[in-house]
Amino acid sequence: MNLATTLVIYPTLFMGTIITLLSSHWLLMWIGLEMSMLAVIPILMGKANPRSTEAATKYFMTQATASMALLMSILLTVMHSGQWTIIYTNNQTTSLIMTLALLMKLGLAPFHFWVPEVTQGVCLKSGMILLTWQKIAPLSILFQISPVINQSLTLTSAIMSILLGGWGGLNQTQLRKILAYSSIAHMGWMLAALIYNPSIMLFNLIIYIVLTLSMFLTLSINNNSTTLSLSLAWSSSPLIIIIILLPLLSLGGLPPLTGFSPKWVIIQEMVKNNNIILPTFMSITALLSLYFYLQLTYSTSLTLFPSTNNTKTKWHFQPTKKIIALPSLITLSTLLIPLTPSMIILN
Amino acid sequence: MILNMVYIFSVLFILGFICFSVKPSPIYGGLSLVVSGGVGCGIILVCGGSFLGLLVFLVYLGGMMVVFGYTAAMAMERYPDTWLSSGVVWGSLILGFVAEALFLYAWAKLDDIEMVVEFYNMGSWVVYDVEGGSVGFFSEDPAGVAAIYSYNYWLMFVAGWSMFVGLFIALELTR
Amino acid sequence: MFMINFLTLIIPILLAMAFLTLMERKILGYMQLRKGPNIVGPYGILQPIADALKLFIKEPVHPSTSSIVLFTIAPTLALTLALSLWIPMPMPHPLINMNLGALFILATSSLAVYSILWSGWASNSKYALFGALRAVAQTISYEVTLAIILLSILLLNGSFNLSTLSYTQKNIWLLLPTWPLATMWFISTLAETNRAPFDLTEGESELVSGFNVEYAAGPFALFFMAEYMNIILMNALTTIIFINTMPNPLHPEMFTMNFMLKTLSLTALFLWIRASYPRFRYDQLMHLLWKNFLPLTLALCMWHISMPMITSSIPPQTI
Repeated sequence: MNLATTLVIYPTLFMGTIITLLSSHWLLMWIGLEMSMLAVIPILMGKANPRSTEAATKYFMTQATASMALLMSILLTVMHSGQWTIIYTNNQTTSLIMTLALLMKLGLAPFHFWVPEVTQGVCLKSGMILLTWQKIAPLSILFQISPVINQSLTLTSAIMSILLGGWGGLNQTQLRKILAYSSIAHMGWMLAALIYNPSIMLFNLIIYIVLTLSMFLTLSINNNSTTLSLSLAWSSSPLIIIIILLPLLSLGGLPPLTGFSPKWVIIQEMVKNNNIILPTFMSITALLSLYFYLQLTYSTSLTLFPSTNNTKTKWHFQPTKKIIALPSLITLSTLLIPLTPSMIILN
Repeated sequence: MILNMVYIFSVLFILGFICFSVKPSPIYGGLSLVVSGGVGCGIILVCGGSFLGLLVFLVYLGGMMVVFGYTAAMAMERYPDTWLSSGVVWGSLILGFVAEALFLYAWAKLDDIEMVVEFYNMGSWVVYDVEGGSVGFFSEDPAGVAAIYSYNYWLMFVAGWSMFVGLFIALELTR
Repeated sequence: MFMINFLTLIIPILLAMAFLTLMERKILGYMQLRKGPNIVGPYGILQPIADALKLFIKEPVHPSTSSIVLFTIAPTLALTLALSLWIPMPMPHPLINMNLGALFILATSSLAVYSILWSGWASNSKYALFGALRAVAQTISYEVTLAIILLSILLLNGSFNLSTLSYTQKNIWLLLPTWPLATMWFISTLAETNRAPFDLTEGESELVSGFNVEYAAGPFALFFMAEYMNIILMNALTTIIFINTMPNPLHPEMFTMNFMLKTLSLTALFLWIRASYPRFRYDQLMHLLWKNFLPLTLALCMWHISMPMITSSIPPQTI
C-alpha cells in the first residue's frame, strides 16, 4: 500500500468509527459503519494473494448484508416513529432486525462463521484491526439501543457465542483462528452483560481490546502464525516465554490477572439480577476457552519443544523489529485487577 | 389504481431480484438489475416522488451502463449460459417464483400477514404551504435537494467523502 | 380518447421517419450528382413503403449461438423508447404534460443505450460486440455534455417543463445569447444519434455494420426506425430548446408548422453534414468531448447558475 492510499484509508477507518460514535442521526451512524467497513477492506487485502482476497471478499459480503439489514431496520424505525434520532419504541420487528444485523457485524453466533475464516486469511496487523477497532462501532450502537433489545435473542446469542467460541478453538493450531474464536467468546460475554448493565459491556470491551492488542503485538515480534512456530519462538527472543504466558492466562480469565475482572463483574451483575443458571453455564463453558489458552501456554512457555541445535542459537541476533507500546500493554493486561472495585462503583 | 400499480411493480421488483440472484452469466445479472432498478424507480414515480424517481433512474442506469459494458466485454463466450441451460439454475429460479407466488397467495388470502411497509400516495411527498395567505404546495423531493445543499452541507461532505473513498477503494482493489 | 391522441402522435412520427429515409437518400444522391431512388412511384416517393414491405416480409433470422430473448428484446426496446421519447414534446401541446419533461427525456434516452448494448452482446459476434461497446462509450460520453447543456438552459427556463421554454423565448431565440452551448449541443446530438461524422459504431471498413450486423428483416427494421426517429426527435428538441417561439392561442397550427419547418431544416443540416464531412478518428472523438466540450460546458453551467442570480433575473417558475 503506497503513501497516498494509506493517507486516504486510515483516516477514513478512524473517521467512520468516530462518526458512528458521535452521531445521533441514524443515517450518519450507518454511513460511519459503511466508511469503516469499506476502508478496512484494502487493509485486509494487504499484499493481494488469493487467500487474503477471499478473506476480504467474505468480510465484505457479511458486512454488506448486515449493513443492508441495518439500513432496512433504520428505515422501518423512521417510518414508525417519524424521526431519525435514536428513540426507544416498543417495535419488536425493527429491534429484532437491527439486533440481528449488529450481531452479524460483530460476528456473534449464529453469524460467527466468517470471523475465523477472515482472521486466518489476513496478516497479523490487519487481524488486529479487524478484531479490535472494528468491534467498537457496532457495539456502540448496541450500547445505545440496549433498553429496547430483545432479551431472549441477545442472551441466546451470547450463550451460543461463548459455547461456540470455546468449542471451535479446541484443537486449532493456527494462532489467528484461536484469537478469532476467543473474540467470539468474549463478544458473547459482552452481549450477556449488555442486557443487565451496558457500562459493564464497555468495561469488558476495553479490557478485551487491551488483551487482544497485547496478544497480537506479541505474536508480531516474530510473525508467528502457528502453534509450532510460537513454540520455537523462545530461541529467537527468550523473553516471549514470559510475556506470552500472562496475557494468555489473562484472556482465559484467571483470577489474579486483568481478564478476570470483567468476568467477575458480569457474573456478579447477573447474579444480582437473580439470574443464576446463565452465569453458571457461561463460566463452565469459559473453561473450554481456558483449555486452548492453556494448551498454547503449555507448548510455548511451560515446556521446551524439541528442536535442533542450530535453532537454539538464534537469540544472538539483535531483534530488528521495534514493537511500541508492548510493555505498557502487557502491564495493563496483567495488573489491572485492582481497578475492578472502581468499575463496580462507577456503574 | 396507484396501489395496484405499486403492487404489480413490487412483484416485478422481487422477480427481478430472484432472476438476478440465480444469474447464469454476468450479463443476465446486469439485465435483471436494470429491470429491477427501473421498476424500483417506477415505484417511486407512482408514489409521487417524480423528481427523485427520474434522477435515480438517470444516475443509476447511467452507472449500471458502465458496469454492463464491462460485463459484456468480459462475458464474451461462445455459448453463454442462460437460465434454461442448467438444471440447478432453472430449478432455483422456479423455486424462487413459486415462493413468491405462495407468498402473494398468502398475502392475498390470509389475514395473518402484516404489511411491514405500507405505501403512501402523494400525501407524503408533497409539502403544503399556507404561508402569506396563499395556499400552494410543492413536491418534497426537489425541496429536499435544496435543503441538503443549504443546511446539510456537512452531510453532503461526509456523503461525498464516502463516495470518493468507495471509488478509491474499488480502484485500489482492482489495481 | 386516449387511444386517438396516442395514434395521432405515433402515426405522423412513423410517416415522418419513413420519408426521412427517402429524403436522406435523395439529398445524398443529388449532392453526389446522381438521382437517388426514382423508380418506385413518382420521384421514388413510394420507396420507403417498398423498403418496409421488403424488410417485414423477410424471415427474421438469428445466429444459432445468439441469446434469443435478448436478441428479440433489444430492437423492440429501441423502438419503444424512441416512440416514448416523444411523449413530453410540446408541439405546442404534449401528449402528457410533465413537470419534469426534460428529465424524462434524459432518463429515457439514456435507457436507449441498453438496447444497443444488449443487441451487440446477444448477437454473439465480435463485430457486433465491438460496435456495441464503441456505441455505448460514445453515447454515454456525449450524454454527459447533453445533460449539462440542458441543465444550463433550464436554469434560464426555470423549470424542467419543456413547454415553458417557448415562453422563455418570447422575445429572443436562446440560440443567440447561448450560441456556444447551442453549437456544442448540436454537435453532441450528432454524436448521440451516431450520425456522420461520428458514425464510428458502423465504420464499414472495420466493423461491417456495427452492433446490428447480425440483424435482418423485421428486427433490423425496428433498429433502423428507432435510429431515424431519434434523429428527428433530437432536432425537435434542439428546436424547442434553442429556436422556439410563443404559440399563438388563436392559431395553434401555426406554431406546429413553424416548429416542424425548423426541425426539418435541422434534419436537412444533419444530412448535409453527412454528405460533407469525413468520419472522425475514435480518440479524437473522445478528446473532443472530455477535453474540449466537458470543461467548456461545466464552466458555462457555472456561468448560467451565477448570472441569473447576479442580475437578479431568476425565472419566475423556479421553485
